[in-house]
Amino acid sequence: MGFHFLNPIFWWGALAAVVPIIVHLIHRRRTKTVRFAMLDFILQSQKRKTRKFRLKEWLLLAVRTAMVLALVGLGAHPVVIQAAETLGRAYPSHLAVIVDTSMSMQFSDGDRTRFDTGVVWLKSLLAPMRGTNLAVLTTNPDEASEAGAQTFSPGPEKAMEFLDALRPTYGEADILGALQRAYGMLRIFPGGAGSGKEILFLTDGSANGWKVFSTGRLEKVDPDVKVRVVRWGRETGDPNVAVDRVGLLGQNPIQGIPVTLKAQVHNYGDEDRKLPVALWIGAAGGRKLEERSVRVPARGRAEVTFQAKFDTPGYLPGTIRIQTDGLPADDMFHFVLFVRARPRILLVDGDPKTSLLGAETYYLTQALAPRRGLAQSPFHTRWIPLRALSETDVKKADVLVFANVSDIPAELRETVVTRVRGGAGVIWFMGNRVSPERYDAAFRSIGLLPTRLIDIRESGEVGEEVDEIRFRHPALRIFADLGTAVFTGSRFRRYVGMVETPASDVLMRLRGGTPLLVESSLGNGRVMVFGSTADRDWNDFSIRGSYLPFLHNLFQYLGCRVCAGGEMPAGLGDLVTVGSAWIREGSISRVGENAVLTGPRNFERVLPWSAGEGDRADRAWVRYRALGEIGTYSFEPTKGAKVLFSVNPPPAESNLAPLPGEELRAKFGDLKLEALWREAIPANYNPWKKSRRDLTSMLIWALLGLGAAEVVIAGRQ
Amino acid sequence: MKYLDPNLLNRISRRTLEARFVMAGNLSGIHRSPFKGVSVEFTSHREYTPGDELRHLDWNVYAKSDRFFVKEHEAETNLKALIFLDASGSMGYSSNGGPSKFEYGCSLAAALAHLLLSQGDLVGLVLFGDDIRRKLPPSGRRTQLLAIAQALERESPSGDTGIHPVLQKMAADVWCRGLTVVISDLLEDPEEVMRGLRLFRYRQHEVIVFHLLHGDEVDFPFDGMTRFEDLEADRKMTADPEDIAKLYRSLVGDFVNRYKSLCRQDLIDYQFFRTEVPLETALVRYIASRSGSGVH
Repeated sequence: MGFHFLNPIFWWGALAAVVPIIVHLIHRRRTKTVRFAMLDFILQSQKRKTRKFRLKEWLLLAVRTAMVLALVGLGAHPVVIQAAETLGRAYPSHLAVIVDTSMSMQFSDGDRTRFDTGVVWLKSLLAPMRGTNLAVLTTNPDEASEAGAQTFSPGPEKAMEFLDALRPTYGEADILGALQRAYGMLRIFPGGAGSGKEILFLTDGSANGWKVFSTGRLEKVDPDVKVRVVRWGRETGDPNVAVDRVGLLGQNPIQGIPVTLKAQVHNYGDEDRKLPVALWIGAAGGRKLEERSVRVPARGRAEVTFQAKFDTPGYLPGTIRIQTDGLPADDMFHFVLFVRARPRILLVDGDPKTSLLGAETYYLTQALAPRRGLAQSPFHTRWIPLRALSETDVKKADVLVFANVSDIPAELRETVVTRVRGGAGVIWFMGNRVSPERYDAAFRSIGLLPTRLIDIRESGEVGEEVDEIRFRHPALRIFADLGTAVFTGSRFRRYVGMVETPASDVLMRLRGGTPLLVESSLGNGRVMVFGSTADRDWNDFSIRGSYLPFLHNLFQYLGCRVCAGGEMPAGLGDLVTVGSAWIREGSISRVGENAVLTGPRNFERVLPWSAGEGDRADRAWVRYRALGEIGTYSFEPTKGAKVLFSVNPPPAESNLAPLPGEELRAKFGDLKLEALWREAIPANYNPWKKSRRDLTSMLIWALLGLGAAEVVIAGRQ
Repeated sequence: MKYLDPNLLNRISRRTLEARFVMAGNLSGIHRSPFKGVSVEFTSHREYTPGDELRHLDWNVYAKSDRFFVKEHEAETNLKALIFLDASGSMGYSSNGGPSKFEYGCSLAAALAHLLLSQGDLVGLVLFGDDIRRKLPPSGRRTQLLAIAQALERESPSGDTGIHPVLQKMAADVWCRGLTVVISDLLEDPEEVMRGLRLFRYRQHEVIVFHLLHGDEVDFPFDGMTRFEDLEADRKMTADPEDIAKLYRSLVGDFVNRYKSLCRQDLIDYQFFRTEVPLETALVRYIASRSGSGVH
């Protein structure tokens, strides 16, 4: 039973209770003087009367004060709220309130979102719970919303403050985690039947988060805790269309070469939809490049392709947008393109032949400008024989490829070194004209050779296979999913033995352990040595399927003018989902440094590089627990470098189809559950089924009684 | 003369204030005397003894019985009346422009003096507080009323009350029977006051006590917190009259009844006068009741 006042502001009138006291004091102070003869009689009367008189005075004062308070109380409109249930109390002793702050709660079927109307309703429900210990949790805890919410506090004040500050997220509802935390918090209080511990779950009732939830996965469950699930959505579900995927068709975006983007639009509603889909490119909203109309079948998907050509290399943020509906958050899909520059490749053939097929660089030329598959070569390739090198301006080359070159004229070596130091790349392919000793003497000392060449080795007709690949290397990352199998079949019959040095990285190694591809840096540039030939003289790698992507990525890497810190971003930047942990790796040398992560709504975090563990001990990493805002983020691994990526909402949250009530009940099994939909909630809904008794008439009677008592007491001598 | 109200005097001048007990005056008057005298009031016959005056023989009885009987007649004499008027501070209480108890007492004393003198009695006056302040010996001279009136006018109420010592002092000088009138508010211990009055009763005096109280002193009509200051002593006290009025009235009632009872025991004529009742009305009613006739 609870005692409440419908107009508690009237209690300010209680200050009037001091009026009788003041009147009493004034009355006592205001005396008149009479010269009188019979003082003995007065004295005698007063002596007999004193005790009675004081008692009367106090009684009068008490009655008059009580009358004022009763009058004020009448204005405050007192009611007694009684529980019809035999819980022993009207409200639960401990109530853990879980608010669904997932993205689907942002759905608006009017002027306000479900989250906003739900929170307003929740506040009105919690407001009278003066004697209840309340704690508010969310399904999507983050740094801000979770602070201070994890403890029970008496009365609704703290919960109200928390609810006022609460905002919906773009994440997916973690129903299991929220219930687990609620049960865990309630567990520390005394339990048993009628303990008055409850969980109130305000959710939109969409299947998205509840579908994957199972009470069987809850670590500890208290069967005495009643769970009330208030589903603040529509039982019939709501229509929604979302852009849930963007991808690249064909090659990565390269400067000046058209690229094809594919977007997938998902209709979660029960009716076909025809709607415009637009490609927007550029920072700060960008500009609309293309718009297409697409028909999306009910509960189906449709794909839309856009073609675009970008002239400026570097990162390019963009969005795919559809017509705004009730859930605007998933009507815009953010992505980041990395437009690569077209590297200028200078192929220096050290063993030109009269026939094309016989030339040392034939396969290289074919790979860099394939006639099929690509409409246009991603490289500007120039072929020259070695003898023409002195007449060629190497400063115009981004990548210098020396294939089976016996030597470089001494006067050109410094020019090449200068070019590499300025940011260009050099790769050496071996051949019969290569003398390890001469190479070592001529190029290693000036930094053009990453390691010392020892000898030329033979492995018979079968040859050696590639055994080890540094998949984390930007140039080889594309093979990470395939593993070394991608090079299966490539046999290296002859190769150059190389020494491993601390200054060089072995990127590929043959089965016998001999390095096949070694890299080192020179100034801002990179130098590599491939331990075999570029043609079929020493191996059959050049006729294998992996040859072309291997060379393309290798040359893109070596000639990347916009790559920072040795990174070579993918054509489509990372597509991160809201709420998922974000991790980036980097060179171990970054440990101790700080990276900076910035994002929408002035998001900025300084993240320290940490050393990896186990098989990642040679790498450094930075991590952020969960990105909460959708949009484009910028990551600066080191000062000056910048990597862009995009964050989008989880596609599951776009599905507003409801979880059937039977399915929900089945999930809770034997646990106490009460679930109801918003439509079924009456205006004066009170889940604790309390009855209200108006005390106004009783107070009026009390007032009359006090008045009569006052008259009687005041009249008594 | 402030206290000689012609209307009042005129109203009572046709009446007499007769003593209820025999008086021992020197002159013949309207009052019965303990001595057999020559008045027309026959009392009894007795046998003649030698020495009796022959003129008192009842010849009619001798003619019928042939025996000598002497007719005895009751002597009628005047009386000496002594009026004691309380002039203590407590007698000074008045309100709303009405007369104070002292003024009321003065008028009463003057009226009584006039009445007594007009029927040939001797009247004296004693004004007292805690002691005798002014004393006029009983006299029947025509100037006595004027002397009494002047003495009353010269006095004003002040000081404490001491009825018993005053009466004790005066009783020592009084040996013949007479009338003693005490006019006071009697705000003293009734036992003490009665001790003083009994001294006069022992001397065969008829004692009349006029107990004067102001209406406020009886009804206690005050309201609101009131600070009361004693008219005699330096005493002050604050009280809420509404709270004690009932008890106060009860105490005053007991006080009056106590006097009434004690006076009855000692055959003292006790009269309680409220000063808001016009003296003329009260006095005429009293005289009428005393003589057994109605008020005219």
